[in-house]
Amino acid sequence: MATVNEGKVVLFGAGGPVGASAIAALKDHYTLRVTDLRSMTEIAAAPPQNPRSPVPEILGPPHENRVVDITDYAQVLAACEGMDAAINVSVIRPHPVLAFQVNMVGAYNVAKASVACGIKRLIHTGPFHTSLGHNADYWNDFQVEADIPLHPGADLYAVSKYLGGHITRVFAEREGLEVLTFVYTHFRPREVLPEEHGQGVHPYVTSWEDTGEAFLYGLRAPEMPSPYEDFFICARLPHDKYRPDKAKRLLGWEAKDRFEALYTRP
Amino acid sequence: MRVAVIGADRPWGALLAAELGADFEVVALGAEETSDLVGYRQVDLLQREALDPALAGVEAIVHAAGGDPAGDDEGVVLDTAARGTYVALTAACAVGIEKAVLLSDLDLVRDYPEEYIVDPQWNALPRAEAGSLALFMAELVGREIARTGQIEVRCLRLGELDAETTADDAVETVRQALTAERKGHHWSLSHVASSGRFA
Repeated sequence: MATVNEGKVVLFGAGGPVGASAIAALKDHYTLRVTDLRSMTEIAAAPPQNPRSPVPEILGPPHENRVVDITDYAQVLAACEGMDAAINVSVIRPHPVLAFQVNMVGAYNVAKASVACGIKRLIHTGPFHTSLGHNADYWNDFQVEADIPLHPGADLYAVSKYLGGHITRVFAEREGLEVLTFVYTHFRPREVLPEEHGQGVHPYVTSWEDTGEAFLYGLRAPEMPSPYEDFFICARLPHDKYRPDKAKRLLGWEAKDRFEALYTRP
Repeated sequence: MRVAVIGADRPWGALLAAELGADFEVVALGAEETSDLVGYRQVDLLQREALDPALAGVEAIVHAAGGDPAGDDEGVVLDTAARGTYVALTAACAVGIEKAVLLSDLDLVRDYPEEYIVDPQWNALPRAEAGSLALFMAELVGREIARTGQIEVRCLRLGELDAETTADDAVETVRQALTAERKGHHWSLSHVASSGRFA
């Protein structure tokens, strides 16, 4: 059984806002090993990625903070030792070399180390690029479900994360590791400011708070139908363009934030 | 037609760069410093800044480095295959090249049971190890860039040289792939075996 109701969880790339959301949601339920390329102290002291993005809380014992370069297998292996589950929220977007190193080789290192350490469940993450400017990007489709194959085109960020996702799938299917991949497009704060009312909303949107809570559901969900499963982690919106129904069905998770104030007339 | 063989320092690439010269004007490019090939040029195959100028005037490419990446380090093998293919195909698109031949390996379907009649419509079965995944990464990059419609990519899965796939068959198949008109899709996948279970 790959369900992880308690125990130790390692997070990779935890210094970003998705990592910050995960830390907030998991810290009272698991003992966390929080890792990033930079020290968490340095990250917490720096400005957030965006003014309203969360920054990671620096945790004290029994939690642990560790500097880990995800492109270095030995460091990743050491970080996975003794863990019950792993969560990989690392990402590099525009750099022509590091994008492949972090998004693809990093995914390989995490999957390989997870298998080597007997980790039960890996939650991998990545983007769903809703509009890439080519005819196979699903931008003109509706009722799009999580099991569709992604079509990253020539976009550096999309392609390199896509490759990392396939690597984790191969490890899941070949090595018995259970991998849940959470995909995202647009994040925003839960709070809707008065001046935002009626301004519209991206059809694939998730609040930071819901983003973090999904990891708790992902760890605690029962065994999956297949060793590798993709999930849309987003709000169910009346647009009916992207459907997160699979996350509700298999994880029991659904977004609390629906942002009605953004798409209804003030 | 002026054809760049990228990865002319690898076994299949060196063979093709030498043999395609009868029908094409070949530009032999590789990462290694030297080669016996006439006109061979060393280029950093992982950098657009290095590859873009080398493709000036080229009408088609044969990418032989993605399906046969050099190196012992697992990260390097994965990176060479995936990023190398990405760099080659995006560079080709940038200079207006509309045809690419991507060399891959029949090993991607070798784990199906022997008794199955396996053709390119069967899903790839890479192993959870860098060497096998590298081949798969190169194919995925090729397929996804082809899907944008900017370039036609013909992927040829070869067997072991002169054991499963003869040099003559490989050269002829690549020659045909370079000259054939596109029919519909921008991505195609073929198995090139002279003998054995995939023939």
